Amino acid sequence: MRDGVAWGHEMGTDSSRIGPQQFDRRSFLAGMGALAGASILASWVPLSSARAGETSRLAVAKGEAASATRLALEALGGIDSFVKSGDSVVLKPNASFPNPPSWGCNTSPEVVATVARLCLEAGARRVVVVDNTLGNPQLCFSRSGLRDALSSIPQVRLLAPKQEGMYREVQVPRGRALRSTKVFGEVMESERLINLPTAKSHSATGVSLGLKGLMGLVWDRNTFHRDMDLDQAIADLATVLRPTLTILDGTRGLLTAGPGGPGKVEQWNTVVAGTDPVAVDAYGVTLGQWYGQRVRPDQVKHLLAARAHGLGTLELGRVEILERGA
Amino acid sequence: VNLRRSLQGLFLLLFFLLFFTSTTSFSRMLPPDLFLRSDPLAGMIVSVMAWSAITVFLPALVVVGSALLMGRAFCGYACPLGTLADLGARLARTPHEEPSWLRRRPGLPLLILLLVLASSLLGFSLLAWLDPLVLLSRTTALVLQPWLLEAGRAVLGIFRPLASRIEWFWLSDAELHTPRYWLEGLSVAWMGGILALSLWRSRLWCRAVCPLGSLLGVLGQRAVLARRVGDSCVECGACEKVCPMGAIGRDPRHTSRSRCLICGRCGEVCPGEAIGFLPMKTGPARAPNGGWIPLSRRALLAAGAGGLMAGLTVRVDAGRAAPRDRLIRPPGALPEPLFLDRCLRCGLCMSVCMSHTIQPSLWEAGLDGIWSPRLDLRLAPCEKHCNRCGQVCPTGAVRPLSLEERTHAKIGTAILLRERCLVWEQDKKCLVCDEICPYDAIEFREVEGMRRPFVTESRCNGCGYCEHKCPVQGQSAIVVARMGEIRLEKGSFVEEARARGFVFEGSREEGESAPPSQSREGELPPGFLRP
Repeated sequence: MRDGVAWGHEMGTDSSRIGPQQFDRRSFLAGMGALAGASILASWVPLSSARAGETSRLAVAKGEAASATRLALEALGGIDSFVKSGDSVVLKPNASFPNPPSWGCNTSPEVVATVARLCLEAGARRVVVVDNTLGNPQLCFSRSGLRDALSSIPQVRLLAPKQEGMYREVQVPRGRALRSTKVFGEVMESERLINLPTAKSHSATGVSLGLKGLMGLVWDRNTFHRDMDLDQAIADLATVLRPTLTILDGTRGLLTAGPGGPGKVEQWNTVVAGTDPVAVDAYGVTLGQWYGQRVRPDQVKHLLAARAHGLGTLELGRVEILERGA
Repeated sequence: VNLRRSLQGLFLLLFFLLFFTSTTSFSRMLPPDLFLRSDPLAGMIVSVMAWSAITVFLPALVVVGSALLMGRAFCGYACPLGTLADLGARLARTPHEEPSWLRRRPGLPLLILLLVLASSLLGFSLLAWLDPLVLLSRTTALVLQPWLLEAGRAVLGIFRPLASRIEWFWLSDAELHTPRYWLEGLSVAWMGGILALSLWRSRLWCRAVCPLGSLLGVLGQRAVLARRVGDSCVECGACEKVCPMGAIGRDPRHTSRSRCLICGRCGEVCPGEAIGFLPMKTGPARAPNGGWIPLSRRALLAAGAGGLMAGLTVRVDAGRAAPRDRLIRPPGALPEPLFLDRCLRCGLCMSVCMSHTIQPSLWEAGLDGIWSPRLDLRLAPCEKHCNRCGQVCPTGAVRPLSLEERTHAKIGTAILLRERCLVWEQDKKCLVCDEICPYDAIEFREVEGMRRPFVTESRCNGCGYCEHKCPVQGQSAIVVARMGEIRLEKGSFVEEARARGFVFEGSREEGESAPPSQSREGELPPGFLRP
């Protein structure tokens, strides 16, 4: 009778035990207080400064997910050009929906796992894969295949932080709509942020690619929809969240009914990578026919706003495209 | 080693163990509702209310058997609430003596039992308020579990920064999620009151109120194992002073079998070793049957009349008849009257609910619907890929369903309140209801130059993800009402849903693409600017 039940563990942590009579109560409490104080002090960490965008080169690789990802990175000089030994790296895939990979609304698990492995091979001190999922984290990670794909890489942590204390207030000095927001704290402490969006349609912003995907690092995204111009806010957020690299998973494209699907899915077997987040997204717009129509990158309002912020280029004609693979 | 205390501790641990492992695979070995199913009072009441023998209560026959042989041994050795009362009494050094008002009314507990039985005959179950196992179960779900998790969460939050500094990620990444419930105050007050009674006088709840204990006492009137006092009794009265139940009368040879827990504390203090529990060679061949308190005819009538009035009261309460628009029951809940008859209000469904949307009702379902499960979809959604509530329900008030059946057990329909909607009212770019809908039941249509959301009723399952995630503060701009809910006593929800024209997934789940929705000639695809 209990077949097919969605059993899961919710209370995961063991409680450590202090043996009886080893401390008296007062010294125990004092010790706990000191630890708590140290812990609060440790939470103060200077924000890493944003890096300026570099020359616009895009790698466009064809093939199945893992090999296309490797080819794209090799075209850009290998992962070693971006991740140094001892770096701490945050990977940001789309994992918001408890749907299987075939729906095209989450980043392919193979792409995430491949990048995670490459980072570790490059000597990354730690790799954390994070998305503040819309759906139940356990279901999103299991049904998207992400948990299984990463389970064989023990050094990688997979997180959907749902405690406000794990986020840190960040000012957005150049923001026109977004003035401040809370961002997953570890992004601010890490040397590298690698954005791993999937390519999909989005009924409010046209497409959801790299820049839109960065909203998954934010604590309160409701305010983006409710209190401000969504497109402007996405571009504003990109002024403070500056990925080292954006690797767009175009192995599939969700062309209609995005971002959650189910909609029309096409196999593109393409991975696009680059340091210019606007150019990667611009190329992503040209990958397919959204709702049956060709659309130009400058028809996407949040990309226009990002260009106005000087975050990158939309003119693909001026971008060096390095094609690899079949 | 004290046998009684060891057993008490063991059963208490088992109770909490079963509870806290109810969402793990451990529950396949030992069901989390084992204690509830061993409750003969619950079994009787639910069988009477549902007017059929409910077989899940078969384990209760063990407890009935124990009562026939050993009287209220269950209360003394196994009942987890009794154990908590004993623990409290020990810590608080609670006095044992009988309050005078109770001494004058020895028939009170029997009266309460009869009241519970009589009111159930008229369709009103008092189990939710008075059955110790139901009460402890629900209080564990609604109070103890949240307390523990909240405390753990707070401690984790304090140590998280340090842990991440020293790279103890197992600690810094650990998250505990506190379930939050309505009626916390009432839950705490009711159980607090019961335990407080037993802190004032030992086991006062068990002596004066508990209808389950009372039932076991009645069954144990001719038990083999019973307190017997031999000829060596010197009438010192030491036994009377230590009896936690006030079961020993002024004459220490006299034992109230309706009270005696067979705990043996009297025997431990007896200077003449005059007290035994097995039939003795010396002394009375059979224990004196001193416990039976014949109720006066007047008291019997009072119990009957009280039950009648209680039953009539819930029957005339408008809560039963008023169509409650927002009373959303768990998926697979039986049709409403049957559901209320079967539901124990034990809180197991609330405890295992993946999102903790299942909440106790107050007046939403009428007077007798209090504590019954309802969904608060603004607080949390009902997960499509979860069927735990039906799997743990001890009585089948929520039917155990496969995941496929469960996704077809529609619980309501979303209604868009345009005057609150950011898109309809303020022309904002919001699509949250659409992107989050697990059933693809929101569609956007061009109205007055902007794409605006509509609910496709035939696809809406009532899961409430839209209501939960709607970014409008306070009341959501899209709310789920009971409209269109599917409640089946038996048979397939899949077939019923299909017969009524609902589409909850079908083959798209397997990755088959939906038909491409081309945008029309000259019309922009959604979200894009004109070139």
